[in-house]
Amino acid sequence: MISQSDTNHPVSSEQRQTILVVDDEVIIRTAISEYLRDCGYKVIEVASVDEAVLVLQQAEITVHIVLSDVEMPGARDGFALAQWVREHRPTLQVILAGSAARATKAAGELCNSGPMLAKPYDPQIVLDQIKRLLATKPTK
Amino acid sequence: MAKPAVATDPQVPNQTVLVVEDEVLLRLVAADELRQQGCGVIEAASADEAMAVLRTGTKIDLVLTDIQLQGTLDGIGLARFVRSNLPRSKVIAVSGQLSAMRGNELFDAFFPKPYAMDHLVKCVRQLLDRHDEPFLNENNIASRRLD
Repeated sequence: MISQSDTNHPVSSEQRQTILVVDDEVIIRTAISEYLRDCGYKVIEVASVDEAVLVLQQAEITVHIVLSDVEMPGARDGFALAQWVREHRPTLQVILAGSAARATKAAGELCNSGPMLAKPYDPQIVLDQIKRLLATKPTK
Repeated sequence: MAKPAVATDPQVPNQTVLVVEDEVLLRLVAADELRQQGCGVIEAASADEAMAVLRTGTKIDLVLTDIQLQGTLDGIGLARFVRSNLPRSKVIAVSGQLSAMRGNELFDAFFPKPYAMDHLVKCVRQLLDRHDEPFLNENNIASRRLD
């Protein structure tokens, strides 16, 4: 498991924001979620797009950034989630992640944040992207 | 989503609970409460995901599982695997169906849904504090519902 101390990122109080991690691979989801918690974020883990949408529909749950795998089983994949967010939660920022074989350009058009991240995750790149988004476009 | 206030207990650190629940809102509340108690928590949306976690060899002190789960395995099958392969790990089952009590020798405790989160957390703490206690039988499982 990756630990926060491995990458020497100090935890600050302003980082206590919520990341929704969407990944159907439990080992990967657990690892990146634990890393982000170690970095000071609150993390909600979900295993599918349907679960993600259900969480995002809860008015009492605040989410600042969605970090989603692209390739997931079921009727909706990460692209569909990004489209849903664009329609229903347009101020919410999405980071898509997937293998290079997928359409990076399409991901970039769907995400507020630009091109998607490559998997397997480089935790520091994920963290840098989250920090950049939180710094540039605060979500209500 | 109402969250009952549960006092943080720093006395159960370094223990890991595997929360297996396919209802995401229930799962995240349970996981959040247990993290506030100082537990390490791994979340699984199905028994198949739980098995993937267990196969990594990660030390799991307690499995909290729903009984009705989609996939190739349900909570009963998961509990049976834990009993056979991880005899030191505790198992708490939750279910919306009381008939799920069948096979209850597999569980250290059982909570019918909906359950009070503070009762569930208290039960987790008690089981983690008594790691070497033998399994409970059918009669005293009911008394461990703590309600």
